[in-house]
Amino acid sequence: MRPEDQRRVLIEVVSRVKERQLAVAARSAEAYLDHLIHETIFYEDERVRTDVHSVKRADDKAWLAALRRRFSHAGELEKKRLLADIIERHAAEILGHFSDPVYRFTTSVIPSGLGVMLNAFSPLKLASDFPRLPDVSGNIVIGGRVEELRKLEKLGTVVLTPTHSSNLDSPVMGYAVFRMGLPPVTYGAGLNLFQHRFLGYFMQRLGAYKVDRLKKHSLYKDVLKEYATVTLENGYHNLFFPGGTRSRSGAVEQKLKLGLLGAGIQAYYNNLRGKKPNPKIFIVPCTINYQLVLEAASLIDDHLKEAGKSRYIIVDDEFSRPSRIYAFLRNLVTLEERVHLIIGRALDPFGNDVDEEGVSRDAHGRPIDIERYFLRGGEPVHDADRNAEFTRLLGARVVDAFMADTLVFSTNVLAWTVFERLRAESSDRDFYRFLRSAAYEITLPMTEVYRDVDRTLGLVRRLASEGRLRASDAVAHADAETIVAKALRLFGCYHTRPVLERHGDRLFPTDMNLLYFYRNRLWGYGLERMKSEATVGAA
Amino acid sequence: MAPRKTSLAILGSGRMAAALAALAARVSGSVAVVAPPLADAAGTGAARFGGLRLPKTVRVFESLDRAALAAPLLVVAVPSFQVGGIMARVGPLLRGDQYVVHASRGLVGSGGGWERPSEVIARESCVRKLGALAGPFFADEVVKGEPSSLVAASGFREVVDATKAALAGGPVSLFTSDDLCGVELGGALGPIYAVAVGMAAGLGYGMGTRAALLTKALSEMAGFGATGGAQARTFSGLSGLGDLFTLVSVEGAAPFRFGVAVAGRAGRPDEWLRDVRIREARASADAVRRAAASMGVAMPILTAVAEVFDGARPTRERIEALAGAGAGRDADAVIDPKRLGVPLPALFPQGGRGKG
Repeated sequence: MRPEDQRRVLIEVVSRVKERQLAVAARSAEAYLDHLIHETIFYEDERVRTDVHSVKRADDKAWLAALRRRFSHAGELEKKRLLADIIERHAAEILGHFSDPVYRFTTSVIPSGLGVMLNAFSPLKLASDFPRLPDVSGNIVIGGRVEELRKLEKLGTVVLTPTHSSNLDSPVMGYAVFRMGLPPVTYGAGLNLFQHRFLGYFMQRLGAYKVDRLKKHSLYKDVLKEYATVTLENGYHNLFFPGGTRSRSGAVEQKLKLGLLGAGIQAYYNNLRGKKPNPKIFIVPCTINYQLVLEAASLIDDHLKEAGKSRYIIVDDEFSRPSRIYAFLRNLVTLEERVHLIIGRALDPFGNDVDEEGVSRDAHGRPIDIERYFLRGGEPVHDADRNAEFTRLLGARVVDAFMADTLVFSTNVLAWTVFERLRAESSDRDFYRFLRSAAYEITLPMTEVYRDVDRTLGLVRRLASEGRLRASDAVAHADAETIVAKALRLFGCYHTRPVLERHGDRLFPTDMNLLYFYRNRLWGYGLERMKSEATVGAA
Repeated sequence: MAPRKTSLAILGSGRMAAALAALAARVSGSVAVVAPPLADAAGTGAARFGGLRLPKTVRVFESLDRAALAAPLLVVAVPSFQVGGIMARVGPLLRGDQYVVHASRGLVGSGGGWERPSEVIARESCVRKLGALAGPFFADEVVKGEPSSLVAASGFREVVDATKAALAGGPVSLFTSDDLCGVELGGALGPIYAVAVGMAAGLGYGMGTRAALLTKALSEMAGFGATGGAQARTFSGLSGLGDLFTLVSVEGAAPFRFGVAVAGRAGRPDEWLRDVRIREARASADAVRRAAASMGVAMPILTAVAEVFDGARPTRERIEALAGAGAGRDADAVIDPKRLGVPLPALFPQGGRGKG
């Protein structure tokens, strides 16, 4: 949020939320304001008690105590003041900041600086590139509908919605936006990231706004959504991860958080009512694809413990340890591996495809007059329930796009093959026992691994030809032995324990949890069914 | 003279279209029935509007009248295997502010998988405010003005409200649901299980056996429905249990009579396949059997009916295995919806969005 817009946006957000809540209170037969303030106190009290890592804990406690005191004696007028105070406090916390100098520094210096540092371990590479300074940007590949995105950015306001596997996703997206020549985006980031020693400095100044996932009360969510809506109406391109949190299981997100996604339809409606030029909002799903995931070990551990799912925020994982980040990025550079960002087909807020001219089209390519979706009896009508259902439809299309634009690597192919083979060979029907024991009980002859990987490649290539996923170059063209060698090299270079190890002519599973993590990237494509149909056919 | 504005248009030329038109004519203002010739009408064997007479106030169009099709609410009342064809013609004429509700009971085969009728309508048009009508709805009773009940389902409240305003009133109760997927699946799967209960009746089994089959049928429906995003409780409602109960209680219901007829006989009586409801049930059974197999979801009763449609012979041993199986196998047949969010293989296989 640029400084010149901050105050205006803040006032707009606070005013709208206050007016909306007061309107509901006026219509409600019950003590709606009491309920709203009670709910805030209840959930904030719980959060402050349990969030021991919060740097604002003392301040929050004091504020909460004052709120409780004021509420205990409050008449109707005081309750309205309390409502306003709560909204203002949340909005001020959420508000993002943007600094042009920091942005210029970040986009020009850091990639090269990082590149020099990391390539110190590869003097040959440094020498071969001299005098050009190496940078990590060569390791970030951007594909898909980039040109289309560049055109749409000029025709309306864009909401980028990437998949979320790692905390590296935010800097990857930030850099990719710069590389594509787009204006900087505003984006919601977890409050814990602002407390990160290194990243926090940049998060504070590069347009991120704070999202506190530990705040559960409805008033906070209302303020957050309104903030996103107002930024869109003011032409700020947005980015948020509709999965809400990093994929713990390694699978492509299937269930999305629809709250912020719904800001698009509301902003579009408000733009139309306000007769704004370029009122359209375009939602652009994208996938960020890694051969290896920085935080894979912690994520799969959390998934398997089912320790709270999205309610649990991992504070101490690989991303909080500079040595792990360094090791990860070093491997990225020295192995010449890439992070692949794929820009998907744009959608309108109702889930329809959008072409590069910004026109919404149906499944047969016919143009759609999307303004008509707001009409009832010939007049535009605001309807929150209707918008929620449209957003649900949009969410389903985003999930479809995630699945189709996911890039499958050799690590995923080998992990899926070996995991499924181990599962078939295991007599254990208890999944957790299988994970614990398989590494000790079963090893696989390499000849059989190559044969099985070859079959998996056939299935994955078939899915790729049907447009249901994307195959990396190696997965698309290489033979099974090359795929296995590449994946084993990667599995052995970063994680504390190699995922799989080859000794002689046998393959040993060493870390079943990680194997499961990388295998899950291929979940949801029906690969199991295809495999059994192929087996029946062969028989 | 300016053309009359139609408040409700019904697309179809069968008994359901006639019954809905008669119902709407009592409740709403201007009602039109659009009944163009349909490509797959052969084999349905029925007279136009099933021999039922429409009220004089209902206007009938035998071609795709654009003014009629511009009605705020359009009800598609054709068999499921005709939805794709008719929507390919009508879809381009529709607008985003219209509501489209269908009364089809079946799933539409598509590219090796299947779609619900609402998904076909969404694919063939720009309309997104979609809904479905289902439940134990008998055209004869409605035309006579006897009490009936229906459920209207949509994720859009305004669609349900508009449908209720157009059809509810007098002897017809119209219940509502926000679970479009569940209501559509309930309406499509119910007739399949009615065949199973008919088979049991035809083989001489009494009410106890039939009740056991019914109970397990509901479990199968709910389990399969949950994998596709439906709410399990929807199947305990009008379009699930309510519909199924009616189909197995009314001796004249086609799926039940089909089950009785094939019980104990070799092969399948081909003359039954001309019945619209049997055609729909057969197509739905085949599609769901394949989808369930791909997801590792056990649906033994549905699979048995699908095999009968393919020509297998229903036997006493098979009925007893389906109705009287031990608890262990029954537990395997039920998907625990609480676990569906976690991709754990082995014990709880799941297939994402249930399309195979």
